[in-house]
Amino acid sequence: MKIAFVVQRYGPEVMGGSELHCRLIAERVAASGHAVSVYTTCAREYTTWENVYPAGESVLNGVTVRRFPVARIRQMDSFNAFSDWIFFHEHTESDELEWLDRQGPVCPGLLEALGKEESRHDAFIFFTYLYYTTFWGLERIKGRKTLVPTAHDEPALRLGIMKEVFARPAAFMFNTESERKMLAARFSFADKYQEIAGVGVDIPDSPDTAGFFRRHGLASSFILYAGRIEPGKGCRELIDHFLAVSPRRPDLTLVLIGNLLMGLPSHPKIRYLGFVSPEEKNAAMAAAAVTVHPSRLESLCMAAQESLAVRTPLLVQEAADPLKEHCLRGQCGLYYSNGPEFAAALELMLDDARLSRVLGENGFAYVRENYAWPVVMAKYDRLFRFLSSD
Amino acid sequence: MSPKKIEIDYDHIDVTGIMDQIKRKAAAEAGGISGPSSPERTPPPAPEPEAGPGRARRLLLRLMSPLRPLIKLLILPVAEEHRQSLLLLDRANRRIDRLEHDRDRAFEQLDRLREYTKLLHHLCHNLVVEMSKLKIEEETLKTKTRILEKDFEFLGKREKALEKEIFE
Repeated sequence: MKIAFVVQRYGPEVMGGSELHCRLIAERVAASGHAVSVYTTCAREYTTWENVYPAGESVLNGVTVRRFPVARIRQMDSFNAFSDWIFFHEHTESDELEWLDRQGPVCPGLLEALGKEESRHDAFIFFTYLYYTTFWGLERIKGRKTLVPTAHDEPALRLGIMKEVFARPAAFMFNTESERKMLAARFSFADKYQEIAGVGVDIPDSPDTAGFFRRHGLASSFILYAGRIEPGKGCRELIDHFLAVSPRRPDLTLVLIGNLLMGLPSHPKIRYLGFVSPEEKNAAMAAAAVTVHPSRLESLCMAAQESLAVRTPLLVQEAADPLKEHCLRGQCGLYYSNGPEFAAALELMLDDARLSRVLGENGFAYVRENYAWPVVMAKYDRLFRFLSSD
Repeated sequence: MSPKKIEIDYDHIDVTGIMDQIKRKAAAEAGGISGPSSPERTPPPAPEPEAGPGRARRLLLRLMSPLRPLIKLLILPVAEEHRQSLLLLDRANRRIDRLEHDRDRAFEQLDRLREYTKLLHHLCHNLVVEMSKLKIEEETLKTKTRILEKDFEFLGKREKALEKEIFE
């Protein structure tokens, strides 16, 4: 089949959750013998949508990438102010369309190409419900199309125009059951094709845990946070909770890896290791006693899947339904909603090695059963059969 | 916290059951010790009861100390509800603060608009006065022009009469 993906950003340097999700799926679909094209913009950063990649056609890991320039730089401050207004005040549909323009990426060339080239593809898969390219792209494509919403409960879902976004596709690929339930409470999915697919995870053979301890001079157990380090991801709260536990656990270290977007306190037991390679990340996850996922706004959390793939249990934010769902469905982690619960759950997992081991093993089985690549790709094959059937 | 106090069936792990026990323990500890917690989730401190004479208060507390575990046990569920209510109130208060801030800004804008409207009114008034003056002046000038026209006509007639006298 000839399959087209539409996503707001695409590239090896783009590390956003849904963009990486799209790239991993597109590459796997291409590897399985389909002709895959990606319609995307020249932008690399969602904060500005500045055109960084050259416009035109290129090939990346077997996938044909067609890039179109963004017509409008995003003004983050004015967009945030406008969002604050629109989410809490009465407004009209034209206000919402204005919000969508400001959200971006405004890319008329991409929309024009979609309209002209629809007949060249057998299926269109749109990633992320939130952006200009998805809203107008879904309108341009007249045939059956698929949406991978990657949604979490946020004010944008309450905008009136989102009803159109969720009404137009014929099929939906959700990340988790929690995401599906949350969206089903707002939109109707009657007579629509639905699948809970998520994204696959590679199960590493034998991560070098001893080497990780040696390379970073870690002498005792540590808990790990992997991902963008910013207040929006709950990192400030995580550090507060950790600093509260630290006096009772002087041997425990909090290790953070990923893109640092906030200040960290100068504390001997808080270690930032920077941006590390995938192998080093796997080693860090395998070596950690627990991986912590403090974000409240998650639709899947690939870091949690990667942690379970190396048998390390999770400690997650209770308010993030998909993360809690991982813990409950997989019986593979604990959750917290405040400082005392964080401390109690963490200390239980640190002190009770047997519990930790059982949770880790459960997590490994859960990931292998639900998020191994063959399982995820089988779900996409079913989707393609549905889209090609009359 | 000692892990021995949490009952776990390792052959059939039940995360929900473990979490229930953890939550109860955490709530009990948070109630017993003023342990550190997230700043945004910490409920606002309850108002201190009005202290009586220090000695009597200490005596009363000492008399009540054997009953402390029972009191804690009885107020535990209520304390959690109380905490949740305080959190809700805290959120509502923040929302009200924001709305009040928005309202104040709207009033400021309204005041500015009122001043602007006043200025526009004065401007319109002055323009009308000036237009009226101009109209009057125009009428005066028109009258003067008519007089001049008549004078000119009279002089023309006189000129013609004089020419006639001279050439005849």
